[in-house]
Amino acid sequence: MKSLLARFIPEARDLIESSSSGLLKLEKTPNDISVVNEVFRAVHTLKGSSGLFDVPALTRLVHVAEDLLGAVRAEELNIDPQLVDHLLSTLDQVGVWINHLETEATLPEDADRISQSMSTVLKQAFSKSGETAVDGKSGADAEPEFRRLAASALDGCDPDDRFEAFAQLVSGLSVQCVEYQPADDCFFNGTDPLAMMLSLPGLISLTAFPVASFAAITELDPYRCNLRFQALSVAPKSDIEHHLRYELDHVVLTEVYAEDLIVVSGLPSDLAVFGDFYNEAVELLARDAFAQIARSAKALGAVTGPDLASTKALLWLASALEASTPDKSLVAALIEAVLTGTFRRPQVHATPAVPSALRRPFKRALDIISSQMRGLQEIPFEPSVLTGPKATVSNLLRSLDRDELLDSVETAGEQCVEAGSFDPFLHLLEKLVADIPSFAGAENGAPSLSKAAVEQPLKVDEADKGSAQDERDASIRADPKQAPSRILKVDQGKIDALMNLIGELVVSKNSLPFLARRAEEVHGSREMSREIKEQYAIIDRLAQEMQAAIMQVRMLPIADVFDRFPRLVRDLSRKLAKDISLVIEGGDTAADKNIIEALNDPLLHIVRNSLDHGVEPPAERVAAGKPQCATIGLKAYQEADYVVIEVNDDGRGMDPAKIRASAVKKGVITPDEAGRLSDQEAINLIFRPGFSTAEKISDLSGRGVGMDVVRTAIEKLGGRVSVTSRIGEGSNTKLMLPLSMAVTRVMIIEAASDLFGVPMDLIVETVRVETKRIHKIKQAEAFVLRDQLIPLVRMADLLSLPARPLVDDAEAVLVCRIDGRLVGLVIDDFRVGMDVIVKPLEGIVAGIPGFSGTTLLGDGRVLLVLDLKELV
Amino acid sequence: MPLVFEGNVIRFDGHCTVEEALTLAQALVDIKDVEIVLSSCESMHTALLQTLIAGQPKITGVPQSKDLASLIRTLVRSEG
Repeated sequence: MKSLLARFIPEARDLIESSSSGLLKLEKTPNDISVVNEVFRAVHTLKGSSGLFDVPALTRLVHVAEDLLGAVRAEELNIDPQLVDHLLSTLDQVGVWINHLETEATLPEDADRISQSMSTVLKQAFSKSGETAVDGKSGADAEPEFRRLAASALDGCDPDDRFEAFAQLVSGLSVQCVEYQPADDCFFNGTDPLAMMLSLPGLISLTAFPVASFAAITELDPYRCNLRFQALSVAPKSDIEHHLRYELDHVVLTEVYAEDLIVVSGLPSDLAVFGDFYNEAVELLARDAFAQIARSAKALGAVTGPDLASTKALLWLASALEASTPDKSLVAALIEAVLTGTFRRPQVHATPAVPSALRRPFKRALDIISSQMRGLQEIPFEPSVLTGPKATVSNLLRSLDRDELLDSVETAGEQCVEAGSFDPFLHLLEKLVADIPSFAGAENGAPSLSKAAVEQPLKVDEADKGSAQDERDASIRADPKQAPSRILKVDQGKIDALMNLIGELVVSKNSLPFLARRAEEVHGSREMSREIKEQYAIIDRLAQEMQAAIMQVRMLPIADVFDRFPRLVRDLSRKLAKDISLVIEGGDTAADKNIIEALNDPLLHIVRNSLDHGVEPPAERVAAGKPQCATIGLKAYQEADYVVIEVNDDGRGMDPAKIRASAVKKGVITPDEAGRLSDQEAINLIFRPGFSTAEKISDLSGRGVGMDVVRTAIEKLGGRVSVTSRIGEGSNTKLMLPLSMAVTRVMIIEAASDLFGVPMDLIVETVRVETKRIHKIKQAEAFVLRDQLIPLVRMADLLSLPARPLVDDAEAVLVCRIDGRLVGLVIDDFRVGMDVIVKPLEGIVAGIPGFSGTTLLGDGRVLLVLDLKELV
Repeated sequence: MPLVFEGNVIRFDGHCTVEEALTLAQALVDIKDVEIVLSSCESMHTALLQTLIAGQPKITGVPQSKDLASLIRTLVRSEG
């Protein structure tokens, strides 16, 4: 499974890249439907593939993007730059997750929340389209990260619970206030808000309020949720988000600070002891003698009346002083509360004295640095690796206004190169981790007293909200690309160039035998000819080895594609409540990288078709007398220069009658034509554009990527696809693809006094047939080859050229297999087999039917390569 | 049936699900001096909780979950 993930990651990157570039194109030409399709398909595939892994947040987000693109495709939604922005930032986010997946094999903890908030933005873009432009910032604003609680927000919360939460907060935990207002119809989808809140991780207190005041019991609709909940929790924010991941739309999380929790209430008192305590405490506070204040507070609290407000204040004060470094302003406010009996929030948090530009989420900076450290600790030293982390740390320092430290980053980098290890750089990072909290303290204009104070720079007011988004973008950009691996990554273009060169070499070495003949015939040097032939043998061997080697570079096992299917079949069969076992054979069959990669989508489509439409539900299978468990087979094997992939199922098979009817209904063919089709021809109709028998669109198949797309894709690769099916017994789809695409083996034949090439893979055998063995059946000719009647076609007739008169009384017959049927081609003579690079016909001759391309012979002549499928 | 009816007493027993909500709402209307016993209640659905809040019946016994108990205590009058 791990290797599957390793393959998914580069694929996902490719898909993200192609959709991003497609989106950019779309921004310029919004109406280009082919680009829309391209982007849609890429995102669709990304969604499908991501479903194989446990990354629900990613899949959900991509799904929303796909829906949006689907609407664009259906012309329900217009592409505008803002929409493109949203989609691109979605793709960026997915890219970040992919990087995280690569290093950690899981999504980051906050993925659920980000997925949720970005999906909301995308959905808004969808619903608002057409009327007004969407506010591009709403996604960032929707993040509850930097909210503060209102002073009265926790009034409904039990004072004892608040005290407990306060104690936890003072001890160093962070406390979250969870406000949850379920949708009023949530009971109908099985949601039980109460149960969910009662099982909230780290729950300290839970309160509930009616949303609207309750009607009389006689009027009550008990199935309409009229409660909202408020909870305090000490669990990490990400845990809470994960727990409430399906309801995040209805949940607001707010970080709770110490002063939010303090509530001082009770009987007023003007006892002199409180005044004395106040005077003493103020004095002690000036000297930072926290321990002494705590002692007096506890002593006094134990003897004064428990119902007095001042006594309550003493308890809070004692608790606040439990902190390792108590918050001075908070302590001062509590000391005052002891005297006055009312607690006034200290003002320092609400209006920080420093300009907003200086306040940045330092915590994020710490996260970034620690992730860089983790990355560097895990890999062997390599000078080039440092570039990314160095740039990231430098940018970080700049954003924290610590430009003076930039030099130390450079220096550490140089030391690393000298030392041949990352250690100097890691030391620097360690130092930064230690120092960053003090940057925060310094900017606060106050010594960092408690945890709340250390984290204070995280509390950003309205004006600074945008920075959350900026920060995320920055971390996206700064994220180091990917860890290097031992594998040399080479641009595919370079391999292709090499491949082309070798192809040319293979072809030009073919000219040496001609040269040898000239040496002998023209220059009369038999010895020279022999030497050239010897050299030719060597060059020939080397060229072939070279070609094999370079092909090997590009060869991948077909298992690369097959590996994703077991999970897919398992998941889909569960979803469809079908019992299906997948049998894979021949996974080690190798084929060219291009072919393997291009196989992915068509194969996915065919397998999904089999699952969705081919295999019957278990009950139907049992009724038909078949085993309940259906079998889908994936088989790959090599056949001559082809790799053959078969997908078969033992499902219900295709009904030619149904296909005929459907094709007529969809206007693909006329009823007349339908009547004339054989069953196999009817089945072949599924390859026609615009044909899809699926009556309902499910999320498995039927997104408009029909079998015609499969055929186009396969034929583009120089392959063929065929489907056979028997009603009640199942279907078999067979893909035949060339092993390699660069060099084709052709046989040179003589026909109508000229030379032509015939692709070797079509040729079954060559025979000489005596004229008396050729039978005439009306106009047509045929002969019997090993008890099989083979129709004959004369090549000269096909080419409309005069035939060469027969020399002896035997015809040269090339037996070919065309579209699965054997045909005998009568030609003048056979020549040699040859490796050539077939160049397509271009320019003025491009439209000439019957030829697939041209190639150069060793003596410089142009050889036309016949397209027998078209000719015969 | 997690809701056990005994005269004017309705006892919540074990896990009380959303299906009981309508029955409970009707019972709160129909039964005179209705009394709800929660001591053997292990959990209740939100719908039941809000029905109790709307009906404000007499409650005796506290549910086993401490958090649920304190919710009931603050939201429904308690005379038990």
